[in-house]
Amino acid sequence: MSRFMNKDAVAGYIFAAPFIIGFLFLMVGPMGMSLYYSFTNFQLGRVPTWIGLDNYSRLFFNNFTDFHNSVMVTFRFVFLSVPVRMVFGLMIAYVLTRKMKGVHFYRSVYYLPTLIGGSIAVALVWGQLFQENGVVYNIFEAVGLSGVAWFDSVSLAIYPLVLMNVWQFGAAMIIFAAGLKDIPESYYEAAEIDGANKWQAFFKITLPCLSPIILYNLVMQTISAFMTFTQAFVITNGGPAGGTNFVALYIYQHAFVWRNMGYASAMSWILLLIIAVSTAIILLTSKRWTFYANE
Amino acid sequence: MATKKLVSKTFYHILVALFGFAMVYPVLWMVIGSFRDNVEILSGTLSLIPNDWAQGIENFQVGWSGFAGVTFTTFFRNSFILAISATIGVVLSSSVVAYSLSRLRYRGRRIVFMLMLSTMMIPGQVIMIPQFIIFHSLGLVGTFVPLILPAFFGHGFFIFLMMQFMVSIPKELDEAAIVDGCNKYTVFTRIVFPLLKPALITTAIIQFYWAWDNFMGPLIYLQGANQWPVSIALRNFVYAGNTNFGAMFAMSTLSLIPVFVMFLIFNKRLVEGINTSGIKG
Amino acid sequence: MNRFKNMIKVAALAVVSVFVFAACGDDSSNITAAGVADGSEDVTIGIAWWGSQLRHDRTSEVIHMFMDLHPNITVEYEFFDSSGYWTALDTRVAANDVWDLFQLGSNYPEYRDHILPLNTFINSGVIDTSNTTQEFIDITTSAGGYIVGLSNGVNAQGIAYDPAMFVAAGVPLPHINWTWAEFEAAALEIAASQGHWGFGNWGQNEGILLTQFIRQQGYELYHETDDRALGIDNPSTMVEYFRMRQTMVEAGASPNVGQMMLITDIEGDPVAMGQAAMTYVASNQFVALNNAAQAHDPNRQLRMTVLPGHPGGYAASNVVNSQMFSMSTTDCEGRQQAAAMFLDFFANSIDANNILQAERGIPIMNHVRDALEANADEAVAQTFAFISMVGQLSDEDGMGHIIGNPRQAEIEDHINTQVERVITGLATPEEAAQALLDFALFIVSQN
Repeated sequence: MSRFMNKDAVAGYIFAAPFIIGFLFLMVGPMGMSLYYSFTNFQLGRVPTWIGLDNYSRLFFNNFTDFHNSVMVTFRFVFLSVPVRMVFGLMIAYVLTRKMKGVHFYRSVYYLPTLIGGSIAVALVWGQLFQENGVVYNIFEAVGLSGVAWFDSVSLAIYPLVLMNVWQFGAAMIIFAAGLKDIPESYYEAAEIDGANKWQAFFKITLPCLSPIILYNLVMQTISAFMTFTQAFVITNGGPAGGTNFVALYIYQHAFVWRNMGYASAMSWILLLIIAVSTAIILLTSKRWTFYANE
Repeated sequence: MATKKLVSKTFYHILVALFGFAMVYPVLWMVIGSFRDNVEILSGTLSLIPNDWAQGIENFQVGWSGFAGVTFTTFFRNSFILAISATIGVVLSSSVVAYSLSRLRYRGRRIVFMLMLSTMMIPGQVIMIPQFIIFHSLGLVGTFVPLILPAFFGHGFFIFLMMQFMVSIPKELDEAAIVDGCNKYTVFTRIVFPLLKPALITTAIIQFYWAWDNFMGPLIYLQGANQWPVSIALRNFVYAGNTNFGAMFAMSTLSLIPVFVMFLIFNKRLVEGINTSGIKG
Repeated sequence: MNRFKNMIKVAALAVVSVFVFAACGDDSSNITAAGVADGSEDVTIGIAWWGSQLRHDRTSEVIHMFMDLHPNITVEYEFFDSSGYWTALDTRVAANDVWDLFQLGSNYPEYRDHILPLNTFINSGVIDTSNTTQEFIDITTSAGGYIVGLSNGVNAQGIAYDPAMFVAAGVPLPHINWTWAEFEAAALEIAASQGHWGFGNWGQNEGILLTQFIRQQGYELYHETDDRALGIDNPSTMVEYFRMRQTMVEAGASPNVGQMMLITDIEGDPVAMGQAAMTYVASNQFVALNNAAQAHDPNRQLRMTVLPGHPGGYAASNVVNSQMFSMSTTDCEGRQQAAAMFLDFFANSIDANNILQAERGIPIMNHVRDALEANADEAVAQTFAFISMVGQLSDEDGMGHIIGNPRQAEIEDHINTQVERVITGLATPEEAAQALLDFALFIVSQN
């Protein structure tokens, strides 16, 4: 092995080559084209015509407030679903690390919902559960709350979709489970000797040791929540009256149903910006609460 | 003490099983839907016992017969080819890229990292068309290449996942290996890659499922039913007001089996991989 | 700014021009029409459609039948589910590589730039239309006289109802000249006395009904010749529709938004399930709806009638093109010839149509209709009779050609949004009608 090849700079680029080649081949051109499209009136199948910033001004200053509404709905979804999904994923992963028979089986069962998320069967069942006089409605009535017609309300229709998103915590769960197994047993033994109870051990050992994994899941879940599409696509199609019209769904409709590539591209770049800023905020603040074993 | 433990154990199992049942109820409903006809499925029933189990025979037969003479034998074969190739590609490529970004120090590393993050954030719908035009101009539309090749370029989600795992692999192991005569390449193949096993398995499971479930890609790149994977075939049971739900649920149930079985198997391996990897202590 | 603009433009066009090339750049460009017609030259054409398992099976069988008759022509076929089809088509439109024959519906104006009119093939007799009437050609003719496709079957929208529920409520049955006022009164009365919905399903696309509602008053939502203008300049023709929707939901005579969302298929239609007295139906779905109703109760017998109209207005329902095969704009003469020959075979061959069994709608060729009607069962015969009745009614007004707009899908979706705003109390009927008009004007101005 030559010295040259063993330099960090050389080896670094060689190892990163698959990504760099792929990026140059499949991303640069398409991203550039979509940036260009965002400055055009481009209905697929016609010739794009340059309109400058018109698409962007339509996004922010038009009278129909469609995009404004989509962004607000999407933020609501992110803030409602990400924390709950993370807590569920972690909780179930924690419960299922106990050395009990059947843990592997349970974990597989809990992962099942993640595998059929976009299917029509789920859309049907979810509709039945939340309809007037459906199971959820009756449970609400039974505990003294008046029954709620979820899908008939502009502000409430998002909750069944949030719940569906939380229900599919499988991916977060297995990553947490892998992380939990990584925490050395000796840490807990030491804590036990020091007289810590289970809760203290969880907050003082488990959470700090898991913090890189929590960061990973938080970033990933946030990004994917911002891009949420399937839940609304299969169940509400954005309704009622735009109450679940997530940005990603709206982009899809403009791009492929109405073929307004120009407008869809402009929306995508704004969404990209929103996600990038949110991710940056998470990563910047993470230095305060993540803990790495080798530091 | 023993009885207390037994009580707590039983309680634990009941709780986990009950919650599990609530979790998988919609899945069970779909499986049972394979044994129902359309009228029963759409009647709003929440029961898990079909009126007539024999309806399942028809659903599975009609379902498996597929479309225009192409059966689910073909669709399953295509799905396996696509999902296995894409999984191998993503696991190999993502791990090398992650190694570069997390273990090596060089100029431009941060830029590559930022670009990788940005690829995760751009909504796929907008770059799909330009990408299609590229593959189209290369004459690759109507082949599996546009669906498999991108997997070999690494995937942002998994690169990031593996980088996180590499953080917890002590750097001392690398240094010790270099003292023993390893170079940057053999450190990866002999030390880092084997220790990454849990992350690799996690990646494999998720990626296999994503590829298995991928709908948009096959829809635009493949030509004709002979090339279809199961994901596309399933959608073809849906037709404005005349959906054959029974057949669709029957085939959906079958298509769930490979993914579920894979998860059952690898789930155990995942734990073994961590136990034997020597990260502890 | 200008320099920046030009820089990006040049860069992007460079990228585009590298990747996009004409669909006819390959070796098929020198195949002649005559050579294809007499069988001496080989040619391959592509065709695509959306549909059901049944349609896929039958259509592919007919394609093989055609290839056996013309060994020099290879037809490569692709078929899709109904939503996947449009994504696949749009991607191909972007790459300028559309199938030689592709299925379109009433949304054809959105693809106008990619359709090759059939006029020359019909005039030269390659596509034989001697067995149909001008009216059936008109339904696939756009402004300017361009024949944009050959209909694979026709349909009409109507109302399906359960007469027993009308009788139980003591409400007079719908008649052939009934009005929206009578329709609404019947629905409200049935809801009040029977406790179920008067009207159960507005269909997946409210846009169809509102555009019909406007058309019946003698107006068109879209302008006939100008894509950048509408056919109406004030919302007055629409307000009444929104008011009726609101009143019926509030009175419990019609499902609310959440309940509508659950109605996904014919078997789940409230009329089939005995939860409503009336529902919207397209003629080709009536048989399935009736079967579904009888699955719940074998004694039920549904009926089908025309849409309600306006007093003294235009024909309430009209015969519409269900879908058609359109030819794409390749300049390869030989492929055009082969595609035209296929269209002719698909529409005129009795053997082919015996396999297709009017699954796409009632065939437009007289001899084919006669052949099918001879063997039709009773439910199918009822559909045939309904179509010819609607045909006669709307004939008096002249069926005319269809008026659409390249942006109609986006506007029709917005109709749903505005209806939902009215029903959920976010807007009054007047506000919704005005908002819809403003939105539609803005959208067509983008053309």
